[in-house]
Amino acid sequence: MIDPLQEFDFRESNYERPNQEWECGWTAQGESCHIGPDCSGTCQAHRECVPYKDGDRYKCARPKNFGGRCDLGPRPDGNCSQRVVECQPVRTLRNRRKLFTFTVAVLALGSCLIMFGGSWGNSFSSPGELTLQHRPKSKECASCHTAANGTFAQWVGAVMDSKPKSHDSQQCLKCHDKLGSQPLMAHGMDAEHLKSMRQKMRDASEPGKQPFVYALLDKAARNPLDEKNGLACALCHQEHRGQKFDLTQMSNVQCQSCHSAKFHSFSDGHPEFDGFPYQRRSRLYFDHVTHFQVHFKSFERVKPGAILPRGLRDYGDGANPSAQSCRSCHQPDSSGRMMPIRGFEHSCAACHGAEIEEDDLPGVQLLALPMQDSKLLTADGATIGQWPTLTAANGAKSNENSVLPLMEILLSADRDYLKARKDLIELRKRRQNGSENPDDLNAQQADALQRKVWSIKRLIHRLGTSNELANEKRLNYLKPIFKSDGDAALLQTLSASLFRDPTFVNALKTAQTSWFSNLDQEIGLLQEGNPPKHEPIVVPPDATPNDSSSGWYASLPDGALRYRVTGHSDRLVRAILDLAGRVPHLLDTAAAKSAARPSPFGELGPTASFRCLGCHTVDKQDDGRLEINWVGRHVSPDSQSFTKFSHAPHLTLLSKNNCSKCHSQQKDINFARAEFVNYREMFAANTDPHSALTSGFAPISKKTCTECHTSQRVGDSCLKCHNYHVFK
Amino acid sequence: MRSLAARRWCSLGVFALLAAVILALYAILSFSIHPTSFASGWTLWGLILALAAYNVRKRLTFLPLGSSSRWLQVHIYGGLLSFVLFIVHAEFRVPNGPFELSLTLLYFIVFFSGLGGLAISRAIPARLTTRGEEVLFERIPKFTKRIRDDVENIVLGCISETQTTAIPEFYVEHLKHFFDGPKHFWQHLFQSSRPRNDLLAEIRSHERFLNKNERAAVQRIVDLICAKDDLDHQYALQWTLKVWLFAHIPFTYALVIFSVFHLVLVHAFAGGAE
Repeated sequence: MIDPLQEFDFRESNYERPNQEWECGWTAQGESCHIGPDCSGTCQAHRECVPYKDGDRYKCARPKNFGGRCDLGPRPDGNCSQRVVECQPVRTLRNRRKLFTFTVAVLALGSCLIMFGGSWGNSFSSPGELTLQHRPKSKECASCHTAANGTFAQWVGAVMDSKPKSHDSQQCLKCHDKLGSQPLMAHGMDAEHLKSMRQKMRDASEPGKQPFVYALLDKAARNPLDEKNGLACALCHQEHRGQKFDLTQMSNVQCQSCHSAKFHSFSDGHPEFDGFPYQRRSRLYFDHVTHFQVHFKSFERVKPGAILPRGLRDYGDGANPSAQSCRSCHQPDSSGRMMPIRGFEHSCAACHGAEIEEDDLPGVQLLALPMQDSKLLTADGATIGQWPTLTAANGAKSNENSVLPLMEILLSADRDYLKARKDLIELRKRRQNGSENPDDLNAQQADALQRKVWSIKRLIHRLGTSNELANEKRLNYLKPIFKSDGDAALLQTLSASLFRDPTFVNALKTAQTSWFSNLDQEIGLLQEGNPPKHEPIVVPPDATPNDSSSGWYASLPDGALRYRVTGHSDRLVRAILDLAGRVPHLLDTAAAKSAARPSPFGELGPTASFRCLGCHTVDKQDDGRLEINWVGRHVSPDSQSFTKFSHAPHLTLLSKNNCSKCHSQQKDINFARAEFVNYREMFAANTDPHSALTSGFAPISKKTCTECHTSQRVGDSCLKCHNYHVFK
Repeated sequence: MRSLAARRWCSLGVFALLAAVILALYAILSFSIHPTSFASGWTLWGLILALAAYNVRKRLTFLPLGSSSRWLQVHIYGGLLSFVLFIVHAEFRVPNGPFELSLTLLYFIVFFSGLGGLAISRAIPARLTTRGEEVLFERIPKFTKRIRDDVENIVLGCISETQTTAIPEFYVEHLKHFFDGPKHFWQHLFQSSRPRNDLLAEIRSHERFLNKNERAAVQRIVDLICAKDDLDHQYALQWTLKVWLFAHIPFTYALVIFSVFHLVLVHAFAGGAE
């Protein structure tokens, strides 16, 4: 046993100060002095004895801790006679920790400043690898982040700034520029539209069935919807998660975090389809029910001697045709999304081709002289020059009381004509009021009619004599009316179709010679301000040269240039109908409404209403123009709607006869008939995007999809069927 | 006054409750389209600052800011909570950017050094009472010297008393190095008595060659060997008690500096996601 090491006698026990910065340099050897260094790390051992003067002698003042008074005592000059060995003080453990802390902090700060201030900043601060698609931009932060061009002070400012930051999203849109006009707004829609959709969804949802977790979420998280500034791209698309990260990945709950109507899953709570896929009128109308259940069944009666095309033979009872029957007309497109019609020639021409080309009809009046009010026109003193006395020929409908659309188009740049037209409409209204003197009205009407007649004669003169221009440019005078690029192309097509067609040139020449033999002279006199008086021209009823089986011919007795359609997709008819749709205000809508089958194209008559528009529906655009749907639904790669569906992967899952699994025909054959009966709706321009012609099919129900689309089977993610970005 | 066990269970209960709230909030907010990382990041940053404030609190003894032991309890459980927040903030994945990886590394150094410090400060004080005399750390070199001086006096005494050099030679060959300063740090830290036993066994093996006086001297040397070994034990444990802070405190400052840069970066480069 040894004695205890520690002594707590105040003389023997030194007072340790571990909280001080320095300690004696002899500490490690166990010989530290009692005084220790000062706060700046200087040894103070020489202070262990400071002799004091007592009378005329210096006396030793060494305390007992340092060995007490020495025998030698101080020197005469008052200095200690002992040799004091001074140490080199060392830092205490605490001080060393402090120094290390300071060093580490300075290194941390320095490394951050160097890294962010130097050229390594980009690679150092990058939070991870970019996806493969964005990898080419990985070395230029500024190509995606506007902050990369800023200073550190600006970055600090960004932390303080509470304003919404969408500037980086603008960087995204530099490349992703096909997301519509408002790409940052929710679903790319304006706030009002979104509001109405939200209300619709709210109305359709079942109250009180919101899942608990969503109720919690509504309380805990703010709704990200910012109707003013939109949503930042980075909110959904989180980059720097590695090369293979799916940037478009979104969970169902994330989709629903904004939605007002929330539900558990597709099968549980998702609203029932609202007439899907017939959310708008079909572009091409085809009555599937009647065709399968009537025409194909009694094909022998419909087409005596003909054989039903092979693919259509297996149509079963009509209600459930085989997949082969469907595919005989519909084939998947290259993307596999749509099942477009294979075209008229393949799908329809066998039965309906002859209907378009049959030549026993007198042809369609496309250019005609008005027959109206001949009494006023031929009254004494009328200055209209030569004008034929017209009669309706071959049972054709007379061109009374209106100007045909093609003429309206060709005259639409003539201000005199437009003024006369306006005056005539005004006079008609005043005449219907019955409050004015009929004689005064007759005089005014005769004046307006004379101006109208001269406009028509000027037009015929222009058409017949503008030989100096290339055929494609003859109608350039109409460009002020048809301004857009698409219109110019249509004009060019129309011009070429007319003036390159020898039958038109001949018919026009024949008509001009027969009706207005002195037209050049008359136009000259008109320009001199001396219009000739009325000179009736009598055209014999049998004067029509009927030597053309297709194309143009002059129907002289009824004052018309008629056109026999050359077949399906006749360029001229298409160009005329398209141009007429561009100027619907010029079309004679009164006549259109009163017609048995009222086409918005009015007196384009049978060609429009009974043939073209029997299948091709018409949409009214926002600017009032009418657009004829010449082709079936075509999904442009530059557009995207809320709902997406790809037929191809579903076709491989279907067994025989199973197109009707989704596309079931209406059970009641009268349904389709009723749909077709109201020709007013059929031929009227579709102004309501929700008015649907279903072509005889029943809407698809949600139940059809939920058989497979569950989380356990093929998945029921929102993004399987829906797009977030909606744009045209 | 509640017992230590009761207080510990109470603190653990509060910690578990807060951790559950954090995880539940994360689960709920992750359903939102907003990234949860901004909310969790700011919370974590605030917590780290509050934890770092404990070091400042120790300097401000004159302010009535609550007892240091209470601060320590909050510091310990707050530190554990910060780990939960960190995992949530990192979204249960290892960051792969150099800066974020550095930040993660710093956090782990601070967290695990703190955890280690907690374990050390709980285990070592009890061990300090089990062996030898409890001495002040700063006095250990002085006591070491005193023991060494005692041993050397015994050895020198042997020369004059016994006129033999067996013990001095043995001292120079086997014991001088042992008495020069603290020895066998790791063995003491891991509670190994092997060096001490080896040394004593070595002495015992020479004892049969010694006479009676020499054996008495050797016995006194053995006592001093045991005292020195106990002193080394105290040194090793007390040094460990002090030195873990060399990892915990400096890297805390580094973590705070890095986290400020991180905060500025994520807001400046968030692109509106916040």
